[in-house]
Amino acid sequence: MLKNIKYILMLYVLPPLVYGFITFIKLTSKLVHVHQETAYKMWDEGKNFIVCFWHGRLLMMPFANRRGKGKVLISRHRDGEFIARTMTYFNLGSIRGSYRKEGSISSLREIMSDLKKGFDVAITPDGPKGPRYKVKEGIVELARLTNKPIMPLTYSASKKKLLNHGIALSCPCLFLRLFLCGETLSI
Amino acid sequence: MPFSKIVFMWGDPIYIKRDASPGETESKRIELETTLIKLTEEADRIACGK
Repeated sequence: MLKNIKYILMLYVLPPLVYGFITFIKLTSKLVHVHQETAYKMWDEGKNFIVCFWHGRLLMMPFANRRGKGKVLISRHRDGEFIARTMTYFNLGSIRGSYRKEGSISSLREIMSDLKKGFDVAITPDGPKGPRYKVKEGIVELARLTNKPIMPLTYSASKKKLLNHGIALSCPCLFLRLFLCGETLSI
Repeated sequence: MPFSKIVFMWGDPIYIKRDASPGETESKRIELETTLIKLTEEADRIACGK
């Protein structure tokens, strides 16, 4: 019973709440882009790429995707399902897969076909299990096989709370607790 | 937190040739890692107005 409630909360109740909360942060904040010219120019020319950012800096990333044709590599774990559902509110698709122990990426065929179709694919090179701030070889191998460039990207906020895993998110305690019980962002 | 200054920091694209040797691939991996670390430090600095 308790499990069912948690499941319903995570899959149906939390995603729109989180979407609303992140949008609220965006609407009340000042967003600044630095050195975005190359990426924007590539988008204007119809080129896509592999977007790469640390797992700890993923919260606001949906707002970096100006072009709106993107997919995110999300773990097959239950928490991943929650993130995938939240992404749909941002009009972002998901590819379910993750890093294997030796550092290669699963679901390679799907990622390659989406890149070929012109989607930008977002991958966190250190996530979700870490080690933190270490790039695993899978993403480089993917770029080599697909001939698509890797676009490094990150963000920071003037008011933030860095949690254990370095997630640069900052929110009132209530929400923080909400995130924690959902185990959402591997905090 | 709401009412923040949020700084998105973009890097330069990294290309890896299809015929890259394992050594070249490894150096690209390190390049990506150092780039991301540097960008993140810089984004933190700008966001905090330092």
